Amino acid sequence: MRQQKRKTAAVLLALAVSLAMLGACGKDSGKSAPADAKEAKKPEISVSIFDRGEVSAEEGSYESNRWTKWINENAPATVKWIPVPRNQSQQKLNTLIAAGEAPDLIWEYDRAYISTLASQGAIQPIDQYIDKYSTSYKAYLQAHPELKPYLTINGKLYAVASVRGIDTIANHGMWIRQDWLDKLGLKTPTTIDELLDAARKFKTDDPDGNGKADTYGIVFNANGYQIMRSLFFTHENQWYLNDGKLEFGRIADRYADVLAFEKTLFDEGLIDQEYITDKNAQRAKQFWTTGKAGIFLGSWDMPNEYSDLKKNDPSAKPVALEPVATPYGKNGLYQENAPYIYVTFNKDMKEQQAEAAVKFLDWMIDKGWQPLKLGEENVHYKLVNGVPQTIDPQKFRQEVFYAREYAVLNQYSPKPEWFPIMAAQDPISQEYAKAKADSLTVAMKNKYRRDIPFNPDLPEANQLISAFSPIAEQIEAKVVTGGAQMTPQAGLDELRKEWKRLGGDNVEKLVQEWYDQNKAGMK
Amino acid sequence: MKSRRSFSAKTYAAVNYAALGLLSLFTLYPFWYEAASSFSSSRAITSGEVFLWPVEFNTDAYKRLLDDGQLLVSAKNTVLVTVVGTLLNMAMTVLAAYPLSKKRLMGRGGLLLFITFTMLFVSGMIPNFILIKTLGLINSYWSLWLPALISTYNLFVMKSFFEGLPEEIDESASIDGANDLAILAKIILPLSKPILAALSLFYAVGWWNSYFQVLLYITRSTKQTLMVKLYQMINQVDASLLNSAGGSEGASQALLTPEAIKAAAIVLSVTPILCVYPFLQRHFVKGVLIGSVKG
Amino acid sequence: MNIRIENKGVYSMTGNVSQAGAEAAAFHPRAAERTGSVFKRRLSRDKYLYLMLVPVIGYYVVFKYAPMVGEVIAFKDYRFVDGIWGSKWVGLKHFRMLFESSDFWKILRNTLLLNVYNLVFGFPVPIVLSLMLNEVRKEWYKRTVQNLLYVPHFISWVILGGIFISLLSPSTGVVNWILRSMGIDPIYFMASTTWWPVVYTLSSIWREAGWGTILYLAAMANIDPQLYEAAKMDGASRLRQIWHITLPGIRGTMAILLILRMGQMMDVGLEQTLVLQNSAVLEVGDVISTFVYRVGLQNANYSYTTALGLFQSAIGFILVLSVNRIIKSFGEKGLW
Repeated sequence: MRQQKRKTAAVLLALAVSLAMLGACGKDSGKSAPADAKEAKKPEISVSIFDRGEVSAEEGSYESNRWTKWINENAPATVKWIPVPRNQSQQKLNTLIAAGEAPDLIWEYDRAYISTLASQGAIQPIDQYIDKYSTSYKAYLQAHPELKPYLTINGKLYAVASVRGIDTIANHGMWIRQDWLDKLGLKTPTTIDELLDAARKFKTDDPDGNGKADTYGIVFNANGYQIMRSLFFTHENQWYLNDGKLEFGRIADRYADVLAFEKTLFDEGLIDQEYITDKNAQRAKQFWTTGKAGIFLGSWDMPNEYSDLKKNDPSAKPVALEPVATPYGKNGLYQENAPYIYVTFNKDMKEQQAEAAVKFLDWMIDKGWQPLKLGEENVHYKLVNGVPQTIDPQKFRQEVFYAREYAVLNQYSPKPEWFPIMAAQDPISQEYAKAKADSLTVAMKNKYRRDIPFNPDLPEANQLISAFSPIAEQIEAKVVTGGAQMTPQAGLDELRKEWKRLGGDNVEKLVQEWYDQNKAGMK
Repeated sequence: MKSRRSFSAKTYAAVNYAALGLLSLFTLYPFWYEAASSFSSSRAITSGEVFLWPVEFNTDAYKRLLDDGQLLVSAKNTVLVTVVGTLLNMAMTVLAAYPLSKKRLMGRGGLLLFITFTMLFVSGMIPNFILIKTLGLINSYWSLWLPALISTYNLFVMKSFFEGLPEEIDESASIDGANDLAILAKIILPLSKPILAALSLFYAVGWWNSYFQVLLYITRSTKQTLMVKLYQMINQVDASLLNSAGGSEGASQALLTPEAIKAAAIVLSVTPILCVYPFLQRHFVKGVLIGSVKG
Repeated sequence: MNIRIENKGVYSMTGNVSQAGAEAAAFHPRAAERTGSVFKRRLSRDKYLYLMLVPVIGYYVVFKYAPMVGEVIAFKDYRFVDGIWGSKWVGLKHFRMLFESSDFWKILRNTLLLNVYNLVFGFPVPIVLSLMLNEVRKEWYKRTVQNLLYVPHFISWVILGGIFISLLSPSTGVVNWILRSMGIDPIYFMASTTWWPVVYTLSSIWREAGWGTILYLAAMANIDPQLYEAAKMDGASRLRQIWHITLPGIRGTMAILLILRMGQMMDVGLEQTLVLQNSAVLEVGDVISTFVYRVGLQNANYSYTTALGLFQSAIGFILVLSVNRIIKSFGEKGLW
């Protein structure tokens, strides 16, 4: 047994070494190979790629694997991929840019970062390139005008992006134990008071039937704060329109109601009394998976929490909970903006390269993306009622999964009803696939309120917010956990006082000016 | 009288032994816990059932980790980086520390100030990157070794050790006509085994754990080190990245690593370097042993 | 001639800073001729020593000093497109911004306080531990214990922090379970501004103390065994041996480590703080590194963070120089 293991290890090692050598040889001999002559005609561009360490040795590397080869064979350009470690992506990109080593196409998910690059002069406007050279993406952009405001910075187009599939638009989600509701004869809460009431019953009425008062109403991970806040239409770092004036979410009047709600939850013991130190949600997950909590505020897609709970308590029946109404109405939970990956053009790119890049992007949004997301038909997936079903999940994970981000533009958008077909066939996976489909439907049912598409790109505002947030966190913690120390209203007053002290008035003025200047482009 | 004394010496020793033993159990616990977790099911870990022993014992986590051929390649790379790096470090540190330990050296004060300055004023990431690029070292391990040839901290430690050696030693040697190189090689270094062992360990651990520099300078996947590979598994999702206000990749884009695999990755990354010290330790006891054999 | 040199040695021992006495002498015209030949003789006598230093100096110049020119961006508004040289000069703007922000002083205070606690309570622990280890006569036991003591040094803060938080949990933690059994109300250590710095310091000690013993043990290994023999003959007790032989034997190491520690007084580990910090203790737990982390996350604000870095370095440098001075005035060898 042990010897066999050692043997496999040795074989693997040998394989890895020979692959590495093959890779090296391939690179060297490629230069003189006649096959190169054809490729030489194709222009070459470089593109960044997130290195997530998912490419196995058998597959090669992020720079060279079956998919990069496939792209180079089929795309109108030869692409050199520049891996950027995911954990430190912005730092690494910044360094590459500063050293003049950045790839031609630089991409990120974070619009704030793209806008920093634009203000730093690291990337260039691309209106004219798209105008002159693009056909497919131009048409795509016309068909999706909602992308326009996000891609525009100071009136110029700085990035291209495709629309997210709904599975990545949806983000936060709430789950509730339907079996507990049924057992206690409760109906699904639809208002904030009913939610509180359900949480109280979950705590006091022994829903797990063990005769002990050891259950919690609500547990949550890092998303939980924002979920509670968005129910009251106040994301803490978002600006809201109030009679044409922009107002910062964390000092809006309704923020006192959020604090009051959180305080009630805490004072009545409906949430973990140690939530403050449970930053990685270790306790929350433990309470949930061991069947000690009735409601989980987290993400719409929580496969591990679901299956661990089912393993511990097969009779559990978690279902997605639609956002409940507050006196201000019913808000959706946090959803992402429409654009998926923002692809930008390095400032050093010349017209010729830009043309090649545009053509490459055109090809990608047209048809290039499909195999990168799904793999090869009848090898990695087969169509079942028009839905791509993975044939061998192990093989898919090994050979295709890592390729998803090479498709920087794509039109992939799974429908909720696809999940059961796509999922593994074991009962828990199937059950979860159905719950997940419902959860996605619920998550997309209510639109998340966003009065302006993105926060103003003003250094003053960013500085203020980063100085304000630790102070605000302290005040909030004092209100919620401090008993009679500070009422929610006093807390809000304190927040406003600190905001002003840090220069809030001036920033509000600047933000307002920014809004008045740019509002035309935000519609 | 005599028996009382030995009794108190015995209690003294017993208390000392017990206290140290207890403390070491405390410090072992985190590792023990990770090791127990790595043999448990992820469900048991999340449910908080793992405390001292594996729950639902299995070795799947290790199987999955070791299945990836890349891990072996990166382990080999790490050993190379560590061994060569440490040798270079030790050579350079000795070269720096020995002359600077000589009070008689002209310009010594100025040189030491020159060196101390760099210990505190550290240049930023970008100028360093530009330097490495200009030298053409990107994707070469020299980009890791060269900028870190000497740790000034270790240099001072070694220098102060040399200064602590009795001066008569090299005085008598130089009377015998040996030059400084010969004195260093034949007399000083053999006497300095404990500090050489300790500093080698410091350097080796630094190399073993080096992470950020590798991310910055080594982009080729086949040259990646073990730490980078394992970190990718351990910290795959950084909460702050997921919750950026400007847009994130979305929950389903990021692959979450099961708890047991994280634990196994930690055990795999820590164990080899933990095993280095016991080998070095025998250099620590030479001097003491002679004097305390009769204890 | 020889005597003169010895004399200089004595001067520097007593703390006279004029180390570079030879250079200073060169300024006296009459002394110049004399020192010129001294200079040459000393150079040729120590030629091997200087030879050894050539690669060392080269290393420091190329890899430490050359990139340091990049620090000028602290006085500029650095933009990627303009590069280090092309960016606009703004003088002390970033420093002013830093010092004028009222929260900077709070952050600075927290940073220094945590470091002082760490120094006062953390610095002696490895010394005590290594003295205890040194007393162990059973070699296998000593080695095993020492190996176990430094294990946490290799475990990341994310994991250590998680374990600490659960050990200290008021409802489920062991520590509070003990307190309760002694009739004391549970304490929410991690969320109390009074207890948090204590916990923080203890966690640092827990992680680093064992590792810190290595250098002391190395120093103890070099103490002349004959000293102990002689002391035993005189009938000195164990404690007296520690006091009169072991401690003086490692005094140099203690001094040097103390001085070097000064250079880190303006730093607090980012990972440790992020893991242990929470919203209830930001009043005492917000430090420079977390501040930089927050600011650095946005806007690629390199000029600002570089200015802050320079400020930290300058304070650290001053601390190192002063403590070096103080240590030397106690007759101990310092950094030079």
